[in-house]
Amino acid sequence: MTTYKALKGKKIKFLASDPPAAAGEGQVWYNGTDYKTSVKIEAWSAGGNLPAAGQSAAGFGTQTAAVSAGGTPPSAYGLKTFEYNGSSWTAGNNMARATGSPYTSAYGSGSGTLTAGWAVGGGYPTANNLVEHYDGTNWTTSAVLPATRGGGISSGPQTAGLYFGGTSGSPPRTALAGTFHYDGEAWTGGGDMNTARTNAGGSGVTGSQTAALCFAGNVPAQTNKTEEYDGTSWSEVTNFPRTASYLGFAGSQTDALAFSGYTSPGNAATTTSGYDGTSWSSRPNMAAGRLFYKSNAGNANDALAFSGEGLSNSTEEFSGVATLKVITDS
Amino acid sequence: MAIFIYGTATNTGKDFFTHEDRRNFFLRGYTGHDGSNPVDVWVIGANEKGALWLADASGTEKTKAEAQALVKAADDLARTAWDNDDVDDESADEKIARIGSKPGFTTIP
Repeated sequence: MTTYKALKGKKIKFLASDPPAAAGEGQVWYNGTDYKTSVKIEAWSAGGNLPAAGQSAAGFGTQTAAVSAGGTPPSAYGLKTFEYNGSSWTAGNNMARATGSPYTSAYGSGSGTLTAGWAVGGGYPTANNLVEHYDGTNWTTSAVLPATRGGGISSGPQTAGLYFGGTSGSPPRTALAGTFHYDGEAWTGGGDMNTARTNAGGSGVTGSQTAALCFAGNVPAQTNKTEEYDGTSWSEVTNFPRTASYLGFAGSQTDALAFSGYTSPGNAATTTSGYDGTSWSSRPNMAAGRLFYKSNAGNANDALAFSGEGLSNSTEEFSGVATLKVITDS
Repeated sequence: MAIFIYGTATNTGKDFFTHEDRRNFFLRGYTGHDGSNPVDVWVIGANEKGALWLADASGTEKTKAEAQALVKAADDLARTAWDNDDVDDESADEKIARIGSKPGFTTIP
């Protein structure tokens, strides 16, 4: 009969007391009473419903302090702001941009926190270059993006953010590869992605100017290409597990979550995938599929998905929590 | 033995389904509107906890055919909305880039 030591070359550790669940993830130990391990338990659950069905709002913040900015239909969303506290949504003050087109805020993107958020571009049939800051109460206009954009991704904090991809403001709306850096007051140009794309997924509020991620999207055909940004240039890394667009996303370049969206032809998927900086893995499915237009917030362990085409006013919350478990023989 | 239970139940928001529910039974929602009423169809793993979840949610059990018909009605409305969502001077590719491909028909498991 072989032993664990013979198979693995080491004995199971003895620990007088259990380590914190997060620190012990994936390890096995004996604490004098039980053989124990720590595993990450992940699942989606229902969050509080928005006041009305809608889509294409810009989302940012955390799972317990999130913002929905603008979106469609104009009557229910338009320039409206809704804040989420982990249980319910409440209305905030309207965005600052002039009303103009009733769809001026649709297909924009957002990043940052509830008290230091920022929203960029959007609008159809003609996209704009508007930038607004949110302080948790009011919106104020800021330096406009150097070009009109819709369908791209905002990532990182308000004072050190990125905007990449998307389409131009007017026909022909070809997918674009450009990246812009934002310091909260002004914009400068960055490196181009290797694959121009719009309606992609990427690093969200926890991305940074020197560590961003972009995956999938329309070029206009759907792609599964994944790229990482180092502050200067984009490089191709492991492909996303499926060709897709209109995905929800959360997290960073080394710990990202991608959910729902769709692969043409087809309907909204419930699939969830995770990225650890090297490879993609499967995660628990959402309960209901939807197409996202940047209506997401949070990080890879505490993500938030709300509204979206193909659905009504519902919200789902993803949690991945390391949990101590006793190893038994049953 | 049936693999799934089919039903309708209004999503009431926070904790309508919990993390524990998701680990205890399969759950997939198909939500939309049929033009007159909201469509909230749920396909639920056929075990005791799944059945109790539908009851606790004040849901109504449906046959698979009835559930599929409700989902098709929502698909029909979504497809019509896609057909009608046009912008002047927009090409077919631009429309797809803006709002995605025309929704298909969903077949529930």
